[in-house]
Amino acid sequence: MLVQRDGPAPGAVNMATDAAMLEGRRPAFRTYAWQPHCLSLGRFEDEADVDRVVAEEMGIEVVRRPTGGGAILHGLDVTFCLVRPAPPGATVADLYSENARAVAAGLALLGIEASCSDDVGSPDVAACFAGARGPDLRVAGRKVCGSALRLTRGWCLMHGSIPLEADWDRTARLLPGTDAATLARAAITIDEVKPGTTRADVEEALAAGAPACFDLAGAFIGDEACEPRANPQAAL
Amino acid sequence: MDFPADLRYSAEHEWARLEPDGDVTMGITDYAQDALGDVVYVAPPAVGAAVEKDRPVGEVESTKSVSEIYAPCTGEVVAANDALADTPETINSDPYGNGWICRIRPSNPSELESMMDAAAYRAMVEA
Repeated sequence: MLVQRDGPAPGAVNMATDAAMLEGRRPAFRTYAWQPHCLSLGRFEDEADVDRVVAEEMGIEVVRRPTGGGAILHGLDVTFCLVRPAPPGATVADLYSENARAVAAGLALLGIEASCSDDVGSPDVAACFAGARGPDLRVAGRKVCGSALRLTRGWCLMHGSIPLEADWDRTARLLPGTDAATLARAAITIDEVKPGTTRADVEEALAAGAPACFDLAGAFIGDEACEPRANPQAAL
Repeated sequence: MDFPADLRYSAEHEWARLEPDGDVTMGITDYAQDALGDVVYVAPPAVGAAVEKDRPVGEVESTKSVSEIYAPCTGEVVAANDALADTPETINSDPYGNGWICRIRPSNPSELESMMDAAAYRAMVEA
């Protein structure tokens, strides 16, 4: 699996890069950041959810993802893109589960124990981090990774966002009707879980832990491969 | 799992029905809706759009996952199921009936012959 760590780029560049990786049909895991900071909307999210005046005042771009789900403010997060085949017979739930276990393997290298839940989760809301659903990774019951998929011709693109620091006030201002206190209760940041952890720490852990859960063809190779001690790259 | 015998099926899990007037009605299969989970948004093609066999003709979103839908034949879209905008869950409850996505006036109806019949499709998904 191609592992790529990119620096910050504008929203349109990031989305075009990810779309090209999916189009390339090659297993890949990419971490990246955003400059300027950027609000990404889900594929079918209503643009009327966004206060464009506030976005302009804040110097924040708005971009649309090819994946589903709700809006995420990027800047104080680590974003990643995972491209892999969707095996015949795999359901959307199966793909979420496997991908989440791979991301959890990366976080485990930081000593962070994240897991999914069997519950159906909260109803659709404009802000991704306002609620967690079953396939969303959580720490202490709070969402630690926002994720969404796109499926095309037997391949899967997963977008993920892991907040390093709380950015809920700006998120709420950008999305009228969203409450910062609700976001702070529903979501958890790396800074809360492991204070002092840097962006580079998270990027390195994800790059070492997540791709190791897949074989060269991008097939998930099981939870044993996701165990940090079984990961030959786990030298953090 | 339902596999109606009067339909043709694609490997990407679309169904197509040749109507008596020569148009083709299409949607996604019972297997597909089950694999996707609860459908929350459907983007059918615009009426009048030209579509090409095996090229994207629309999208559905379920559980924060967007999936492409592919045209079963080349032609022109003559109707789209606008009711799905308000009730996308119909794709889950009635995929072969009220969950239809669009109707296409095919430029080459014989293209449907390259699709699977119900027995072949069933064998594929149960393999």
